[in-house]
Amino acid sequence: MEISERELIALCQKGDVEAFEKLVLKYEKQIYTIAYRFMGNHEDACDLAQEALVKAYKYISQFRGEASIKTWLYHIVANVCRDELRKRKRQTTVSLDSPIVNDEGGELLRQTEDWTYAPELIYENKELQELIQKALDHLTPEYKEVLIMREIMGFTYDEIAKELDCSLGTVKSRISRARKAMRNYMLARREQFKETLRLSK
Amino acid sequence: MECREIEELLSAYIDGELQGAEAFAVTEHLSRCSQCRWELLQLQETANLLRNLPEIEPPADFHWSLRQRLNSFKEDKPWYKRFNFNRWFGFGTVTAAALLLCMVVINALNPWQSLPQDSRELKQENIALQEQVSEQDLTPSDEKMATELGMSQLSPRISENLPEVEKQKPTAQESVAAKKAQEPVSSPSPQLFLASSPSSGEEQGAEESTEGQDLIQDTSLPEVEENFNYGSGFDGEEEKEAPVYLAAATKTMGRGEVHSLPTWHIYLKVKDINQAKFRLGQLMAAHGALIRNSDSAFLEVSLPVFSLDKVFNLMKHDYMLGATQVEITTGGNLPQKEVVELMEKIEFKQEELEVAKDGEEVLQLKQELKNLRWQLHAFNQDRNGREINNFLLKIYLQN
Repeated sequence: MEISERELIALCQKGDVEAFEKLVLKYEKQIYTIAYRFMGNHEDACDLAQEALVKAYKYISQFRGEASIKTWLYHIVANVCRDELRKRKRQTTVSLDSPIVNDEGGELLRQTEDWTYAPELIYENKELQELIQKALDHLTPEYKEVLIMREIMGFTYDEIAKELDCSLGTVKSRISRARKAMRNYMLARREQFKETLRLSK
Repeated sequence: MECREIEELLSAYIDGELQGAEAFAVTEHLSRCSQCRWELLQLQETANLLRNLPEIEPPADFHWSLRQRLNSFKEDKPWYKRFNFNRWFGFGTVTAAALLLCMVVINALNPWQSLPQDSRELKQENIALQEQVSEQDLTPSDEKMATELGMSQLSPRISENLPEVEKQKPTAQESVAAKKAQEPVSSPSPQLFLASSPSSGEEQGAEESTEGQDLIQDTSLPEVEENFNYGSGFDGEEEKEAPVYLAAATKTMGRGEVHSLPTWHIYLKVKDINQAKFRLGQLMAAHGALIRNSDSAFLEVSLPVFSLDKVFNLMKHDYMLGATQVEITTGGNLPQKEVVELMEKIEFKQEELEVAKDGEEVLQLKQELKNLRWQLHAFNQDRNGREINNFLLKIYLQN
């Protein structure tokens, strides 16, 4: 008989490692993905996703079930990755003042539009995925974390404000700037990307 | 507003996180500024790039090495935490020992009793107490305490050595305190913020609305009132009061009550039903509406009265909703003709206000608008003459 998630959690809270592994199996892909988006490489993603899960096991007795277990795990992995990034203090950033390449606006629009309405293009295209990850990696940690929380983890502005312990206004403006920085990066590398596509064909 | 100000708002506009007036200003601006429309598209596309990224498969040995780490973490625990007391000592022994310890602690805390006592006397008294206690019926809370304090019974000196006992005292208190401290530690359930949480994807949007429905169905409150005060927007302060807020909302949503709310039927012709539905969810959330029901091409929401004309306007003009045709009719419980005429008048005045430059003219228009809105309010009464603060919107989407 299939054991329910609530029962699994109860077992985990009694210290049952096997139950915890079963519970984790359901979410490990999502958790790994979040860690990867934060860190940008498999080695760190692997290490930090596991660190987050060990932490989750350690503190699962404190899980009271007000939020879903998924949200709870998301919070932990985001925290672990943010701490790590802060530790490393990565300096590579995208300047908000870098000019937007818009001298051929019409074409830019069409190009990006293709990406928007064709998620399958992203799914199938490894180069594009890598380019997007690169763009994320080049953002400041502050911008990167709000974008991952909003777009990958699906948090609301309110949840992000609570997570970062800042005001809604800060979240609004930070997401706005982060999106612009990301957009600028993508536009600047559009030509390079087109070239990669051409060569890979 | 100027392009520069609007640009700042576009990102929140995409997420449906703008307040009514701001959202309206942005929509208005977008309808006449192609540069900002281009900017909006760009930002939406950037957001979509990330949202559409696929999940990544962890490496093959991920689970295996996780198991190693979990096991080594488990072994890192101090010996007494790994030790399973219940297995080694019968339930009775542990409970009795724990109670004995409690008595000792109480004794130790009482200066009049414990100070003059000889340690040997104390020991004897405790043995007597232990016998007495083991005869009593044990309550579940005793069991709990026993497991919490279980390990302390291993100290053989405990009943002989008073300072040692006092050392145990904070431990017992700490464990109770820690237990209490754990209770309020929680993150808020995302479900509580249903109305204020725009979702990040279509699927999630649908999921949320069904959750909302469950929430509504599960709540059966006696004496449900039809009338409730629903805040206009969701600014920081109001969000803090979410639980109260939710209680109020759930109250109104009691089954059966909703049928008596004035109803509007809205038929929207759109290019992409999924996209439009997702966008509608965002707009509704931003205007304090509660999604009651949702189907593939249907949405039923309860909307605060004062957001009605703004929402109707957005339906006609919102760039991301992309409605090519909007048809609005009232349900049986609203005087169709008068209300629609009133709505049109409001819309007309609103447009006039947008282009008005003269200060006096603006003031006059604002006053007229206010009067018209009051007239609209007059329709918001149920059969018993009580004012209703919410309308029910049934929105049908077509291609």
